[in-house]
Amino acid sequence: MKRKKKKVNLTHLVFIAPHMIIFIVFIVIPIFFGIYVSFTKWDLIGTPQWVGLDNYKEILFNTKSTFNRQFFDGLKNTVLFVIFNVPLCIVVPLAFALVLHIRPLGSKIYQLVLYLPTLFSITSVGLIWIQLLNRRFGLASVMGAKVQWAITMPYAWIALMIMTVWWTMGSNMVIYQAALGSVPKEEYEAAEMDGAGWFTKLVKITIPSIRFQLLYTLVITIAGSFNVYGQPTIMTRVDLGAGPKINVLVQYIRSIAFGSGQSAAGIASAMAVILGLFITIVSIIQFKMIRSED
Amino acid sequence: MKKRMGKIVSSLLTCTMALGLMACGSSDKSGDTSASTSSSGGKKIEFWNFFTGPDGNNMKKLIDDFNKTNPKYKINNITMAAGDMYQKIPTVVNSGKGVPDLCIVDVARVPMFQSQGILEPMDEILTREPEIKRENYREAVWNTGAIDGKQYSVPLDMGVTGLLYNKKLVEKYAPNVLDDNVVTVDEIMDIIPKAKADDIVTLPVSFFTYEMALSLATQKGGSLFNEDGITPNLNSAELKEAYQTLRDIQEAGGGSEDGDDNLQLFINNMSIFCHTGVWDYNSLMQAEDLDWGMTNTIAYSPDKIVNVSNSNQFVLLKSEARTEEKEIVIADFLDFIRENTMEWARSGQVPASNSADGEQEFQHMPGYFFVSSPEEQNSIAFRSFKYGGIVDDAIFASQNDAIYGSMSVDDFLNQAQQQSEDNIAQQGE
Repeated sequence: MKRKKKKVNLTHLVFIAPHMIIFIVFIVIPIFFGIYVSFTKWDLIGTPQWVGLDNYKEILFNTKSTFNRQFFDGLKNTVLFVIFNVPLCIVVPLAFALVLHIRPLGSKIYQLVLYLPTLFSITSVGLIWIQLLNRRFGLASVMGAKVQWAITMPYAWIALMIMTVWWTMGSNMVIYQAALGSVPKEEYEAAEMDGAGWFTKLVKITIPSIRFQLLYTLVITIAGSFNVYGQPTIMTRVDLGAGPKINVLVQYIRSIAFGSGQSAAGIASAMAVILGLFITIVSIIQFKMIRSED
Repeated sequence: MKKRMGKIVSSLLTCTMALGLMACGSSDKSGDTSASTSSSGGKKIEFWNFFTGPDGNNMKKLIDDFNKTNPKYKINNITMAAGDMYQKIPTVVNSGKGVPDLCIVDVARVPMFQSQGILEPMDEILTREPEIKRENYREAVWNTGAIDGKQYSVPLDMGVTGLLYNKKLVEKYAPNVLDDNVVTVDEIMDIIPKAKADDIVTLPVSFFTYEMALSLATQKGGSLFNEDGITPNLNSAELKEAYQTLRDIQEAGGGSEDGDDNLQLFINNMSIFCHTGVWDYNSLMQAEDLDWGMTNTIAYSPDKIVNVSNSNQFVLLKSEARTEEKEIVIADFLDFIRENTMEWARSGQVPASNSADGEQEFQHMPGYFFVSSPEEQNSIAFRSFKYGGIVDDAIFASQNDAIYGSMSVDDFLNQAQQQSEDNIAQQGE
């Protein structure tokens, strides 16, 4: 008996091909090339020289090395940024979304104003805040806060947080607004009949109802915060003749790879791989949390 | 049939998008330059530079004037931020696509790029245009391009940094301080209490604080590198003394606060002196109510003056696409720049070519001071080392911390030394 040949349907591949091509060319190949470079000495010009795990040992275990100092200083500042930034980038947009959800007068205009900064480039945002916080003629100075915000601790951190929240809150806020719109009104009405106040409704109804959106924004915000680069580079580097006051890990990676002198691309790639692994582990934990909630 | 048609259409769509992507990819790889070359049938010399400030207008004028002479290839002026340009160079040189025919780099990059093997010697250019020779340029800056017996660059300017002074404030606080054209450290320290009482800054911390420190260290015989030119010498006694001197000026109340814009302080008559580059000329000329001049970098003693400079230089990056015909036009263009260098002097720069020296207009410009006598010309020093960029980054990382007192000078220089050594150790054999 002749077996009927099974038809292979490749149509689905056709539809995912455009995205796959972009993904492979701009994500997969650079990742594997970056991992390869992390095992080499390379100045971006000549031929990479294989050094095995030397770069990783230098970064993680050679306490006398500059790269060890830079890595742990950068990691500390990056983790601090994540710790300070993530709660603010969740709570502040949520608060605005809740206020806009009750549709106050001119809510559309407020929504527009709050979302608008998300569309600006980080350079524009940085320049705006540097001017606003200028010690001599900035708005903060006029209001009596005559400190050098961008380079004096702990004000530099405060300035960084204000700028980041202002710049990024629009996208999370829109997600929360959409989620709040889908919470059934009946649940609030039933709760009101039982005498629940606004706080009880928030904790018992609103937050549980939008928990998936909250978890999604949490994952995205944490991953984005670990990759922070633009804000401290522009905000805390007021003098071109000096390094930034707050150095996060991506800044160190960039300056090692693309500084004024010969590149140490192997070391920079090894740092990037370690940072990548760190973000991957954190993301896996978060996705597990989402699944367990599901 | 319908299903089959659908498949064909979607396959065609995907192929079109993939081809589109590949096209985008290849144009990106070769940079902005390939687009302009192909649009003009390849009859252009791609010239990369980083003259994004007012000096860009002077370079554009020079290029326009040259293009009006109907050369076989026109110069295509491609200006971008220095950081972007230096980041693109390894990519285009490695790929061999989109390499500019001619490029401007700062003097510190010449030995670095030469050691990395990405520069072509300029022998052909020098042979074609015999007037492009040491005798027609200032010798010190010409020599920075001479490596291992070959010429790897042709200098455009001297890139001198020096001391701006506010004439009215000098008259008020230190009337005789410029008699010998040198403001000494002792004189600065004498001025500070009087100026401070009126809330006037004596010498602000600036982007060119590094050049000031290097100048002071060189006056005492110090150098960034040992005699071999590749071993960093940042924690030397001379550099420590230099940075300690600048910190003393700061602690005495003579400097600006961290984050202040030094040039704005000067332009607004709020500081007596300011160390900067001659290329700030146009910004200073636009300032209202400012009467200013320029003199030598501060010194320990008037007997020894050093003005540290950052010359811009023409180089040829390795490229197989640079034909003999193009080299002829490049040689013509460089000679045109040499002859018409007065236009570049109008940007405030001190030209490397000496062809403008006889022009009255140049002689009345502040930059002329630095080439007005053999002594002044001899005072100009360049940072031109194979690992100069690595050392620069190490210094910039923390020098302001040392000057503003959040780090000791010893710790700063030891850290910079360590950082430089570690980065140099990362370079292959």
